[in-house]
Amino acid sequence: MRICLILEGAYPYIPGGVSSWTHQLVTRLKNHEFVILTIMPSKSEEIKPHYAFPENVVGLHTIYLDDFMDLERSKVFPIHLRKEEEEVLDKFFDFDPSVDWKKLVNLICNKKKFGNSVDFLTDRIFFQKLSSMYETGFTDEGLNIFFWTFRSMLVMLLTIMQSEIPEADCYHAISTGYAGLLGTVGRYVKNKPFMLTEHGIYAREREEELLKAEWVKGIYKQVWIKYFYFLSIGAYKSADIIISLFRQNKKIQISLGAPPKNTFVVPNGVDVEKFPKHREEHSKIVIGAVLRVVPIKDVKTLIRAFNFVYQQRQDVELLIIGPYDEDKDYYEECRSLVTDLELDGPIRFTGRVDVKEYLPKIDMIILTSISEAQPLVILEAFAARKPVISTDVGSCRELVMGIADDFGEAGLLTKPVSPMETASAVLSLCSDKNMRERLAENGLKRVAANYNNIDVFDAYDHFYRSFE
Amino acid sequence: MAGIGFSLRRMLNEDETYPTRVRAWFHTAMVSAGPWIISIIIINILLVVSRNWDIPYAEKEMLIASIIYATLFSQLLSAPFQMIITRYIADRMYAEELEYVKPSFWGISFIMMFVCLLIGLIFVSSRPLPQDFSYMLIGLFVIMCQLWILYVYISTLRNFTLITFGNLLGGIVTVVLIVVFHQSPIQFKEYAGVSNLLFAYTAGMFFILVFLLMIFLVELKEDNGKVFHFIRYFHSVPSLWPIGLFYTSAVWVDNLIMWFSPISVVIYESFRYAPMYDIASFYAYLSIIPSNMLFIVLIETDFSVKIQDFFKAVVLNHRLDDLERLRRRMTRSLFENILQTVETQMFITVLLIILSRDFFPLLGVPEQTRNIFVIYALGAFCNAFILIVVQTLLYIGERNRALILVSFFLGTNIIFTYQVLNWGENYYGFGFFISGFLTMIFGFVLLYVSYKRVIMYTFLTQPVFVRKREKFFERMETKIDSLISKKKILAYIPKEQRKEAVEFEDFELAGLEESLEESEKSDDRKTQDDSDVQDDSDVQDESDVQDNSDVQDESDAQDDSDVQDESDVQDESDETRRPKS
Repeated sequence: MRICLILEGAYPYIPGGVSSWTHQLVTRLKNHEFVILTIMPSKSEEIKPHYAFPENVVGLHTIYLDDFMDLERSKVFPIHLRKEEEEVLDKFFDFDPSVDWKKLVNLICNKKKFGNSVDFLTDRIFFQKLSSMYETGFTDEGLNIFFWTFRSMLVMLLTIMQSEIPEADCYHAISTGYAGLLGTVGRYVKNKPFMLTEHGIYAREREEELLKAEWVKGIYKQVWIKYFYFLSIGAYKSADIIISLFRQNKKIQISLGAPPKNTFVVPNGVDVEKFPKHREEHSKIVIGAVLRVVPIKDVKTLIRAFNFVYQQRQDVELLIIGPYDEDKDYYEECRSLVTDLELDGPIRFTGRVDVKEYLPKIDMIILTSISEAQPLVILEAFAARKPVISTDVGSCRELVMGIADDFGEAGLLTKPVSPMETASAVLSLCSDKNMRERLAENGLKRVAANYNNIDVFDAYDHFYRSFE
Repeated sequence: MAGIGFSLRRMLNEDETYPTRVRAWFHTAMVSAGPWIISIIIINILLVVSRNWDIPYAEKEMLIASIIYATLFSQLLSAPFQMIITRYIADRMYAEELEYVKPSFWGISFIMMFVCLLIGLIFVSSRPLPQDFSYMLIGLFVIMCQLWILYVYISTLRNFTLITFGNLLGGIVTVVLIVVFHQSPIQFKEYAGVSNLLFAYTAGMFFILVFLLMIFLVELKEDNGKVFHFIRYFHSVPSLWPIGLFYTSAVWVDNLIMWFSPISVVIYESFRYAPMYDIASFYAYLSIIPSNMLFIVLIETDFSVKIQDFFKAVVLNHRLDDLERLRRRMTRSLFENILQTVETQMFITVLLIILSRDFFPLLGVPEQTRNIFVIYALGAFCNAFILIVVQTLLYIGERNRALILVSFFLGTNIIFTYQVLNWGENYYGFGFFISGFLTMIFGFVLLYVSYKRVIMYTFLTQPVFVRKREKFFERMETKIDSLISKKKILAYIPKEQRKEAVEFEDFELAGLEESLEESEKSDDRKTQDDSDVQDDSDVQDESDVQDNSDVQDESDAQDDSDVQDESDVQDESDETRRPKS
């Protein structure tokens, strides 16, 4: 069968956890055809696929968030809606997820009636809906900013919803948000099954970003947050199968409105056999951090923590393994922090390399992320027989402490953004070789039993087949 | 009338005494209808003179026909461009980009010259007119076109006294030339009498053109050489051109139809016209000049301040209830101004109709013309308010509705004028009146509805995003600009003045920045205590009034860099056009 994978800012253009997961999925399931539908921020960015597609990937469609820039007015006459359609629109303008999604999606995707987004956003019905919304909760706000906040919100939303999506037997979105929205379109407009896999919790992640964001102020922060929850809940309500990586996220999905009977947990997996389990002899204790150098990984805390460790003992080394070209400013900040702390010797940035070659030279893996879903890094560390020090975020506790099995702990947990605590965890592992061995052994057992790639992608194969 | 507002407000703010008011009115009249008034006076003198100096009747008709043709077709041709250029100048002045104004004159003047010559040559080559006469006719046509265009620019100047003086001097030059040519006529081979008179008239118009052009060139020093920058307005405000064309066509189309009626005559196989009808309509249009003047004064001193407050509040992110309050105030002001103009114009029209019974025989106007005049004056009355409605619709960017209105005017005028032809001579002029009346009523309804929905319309018509691609006219402009280097344009200005021009610019800029800071402060104050914006600006002196526009423009750029409102918020360009006289 042909599956349309819908992604947002990831495969095949931007490398990362979700992308390599997707690449494995399409590579493994040779018995299915895949069409990749990717949503990217802007056409102006130079983007090239980072992955070589296997033969069963039959198409790549890219939708850009600024696709609306190409739109012209298409309707001559004003938009006319029936009363029930207006009611649907009322709920939509309120970002009320209890709206009848089937009616909503079919209304908006009916370009002949609804017009394109430029038609709609210059139509009086848009202003009427907007002003009745203004009357109910924004009367203290200036009209200009109010108007433009909603207009820019809707121009993207409507354009994405109305974009052409490829034909397929099943639409599989790899996140909620805009990807989930297109899955909803596949569900109701194309009348095909819609599957949703969420690595993190999209709406939560946006919420965290927005609370910190400076470009949006005042009451509009809440509006944007509501908007993203609206999109996510819409996907939960429309999807036939909702998959999360671990139980905590499943609970969140259900609490947001996902029907429990549709929710499943399929964890990430690794090819346990493919990872080297031996240790290459080396004099120093080598700490490895496998990550993209971006703020969410909190590389600065990692560097500060290592600074404390290095003050205690000089036989340690930190390898920061992974690409650093995604956020060059942040990388420069990290570099200058390293230089300021005079750690240019013991800390090395390797750039993009084959992790498997480095793993035998490493004694422990460290992760200081502020936010994670179910990090592949930890699973890979387990598969390579390395102990793990990780922040207690996402499903890291489940992985490291082993809540669902009896293999015991496979590493140490720390609080996010706490260099001291991280440093003392590192020091305790450095000084106790036996403990390192024991934790690593537990990790290997766990990953082999519960997180083997074969099982994971078998599960997806099973889901796909259930739609036939 | 892009620039007249500043000067009027300054004049009336300085002191409100009676002489100042009269002066303000007089200037408005001269700037808004100068050539009309002068040429009507001269035409009457010519008529009287030709009667006394035994010029053959047919030649006298030929003179009138020539002037009518030159005036009518120059109006038809230039009116659409006037519309666009008025908007262009208003926007440039609003954005304090005065350096764009002067070069655009050369651009439009060049285009008009080219088109005029072409049309003129086609016309005379198909008519059996003597060579000298043909050249003069083309000359007059070109001069008139240039004059209409130049008049749009003249309103940006500050020295009104000189403008008035130029007009009067042009009139005097014509009269003197008439007398001189009577004493020692140029020996034209054919139609000697009428040729001399036409030559005098053309020379007078040429004198006005050159005089005003000199004032314009000397007074406006800023020049960036972007001669064809304005042609982008053909696509950014595409409907302005047809609005101008349709309106002017609607105004003249009944005359054109009457040229094929039983009262039409053909002179020397060259000019077909309907003298009785045409002259009646010329007089009727003269009667509505007062309403035009009055409305310009009212709108520039009262309404335009309120509409600026409204758009400023939109840009400065005011609350909806605040916008609604400002909208109501601006609408009230508009309709009060219109009502006041209606009252005054009604009085004047009725008075003129009554007076015409005794006056017209004195001027030697036949009874039938007077009959047409009576009904035509009422039609012209309606037309005055159609023009006002069109202008005030354009103020808020309702170009589509303005276009609908002028199309309606054009359509009904054609239909009813044809219809009236069947009713017989006693009803000539009724077609125009019925059409004008219906259009006026329709226009008032449109105006009312449009000002009711102005908030919604203002927001919805802002482009959803800014397109980066260059459109056809912009590409064309770039090409033309690269052909004409700035050097050649600057060659028009003498060397010493070029240096002065630069200094002048520097001075202006320094002053602007200061006043900008000042007014920003005062602006903060206004928003803080949420006081009536209008009340403040009433007290503001002249310089403050000017500054307001800076602030609006600045804040436009600051507040809404991502909000992408192009110039559409500032639609209060002031598309004033003159009626025919």
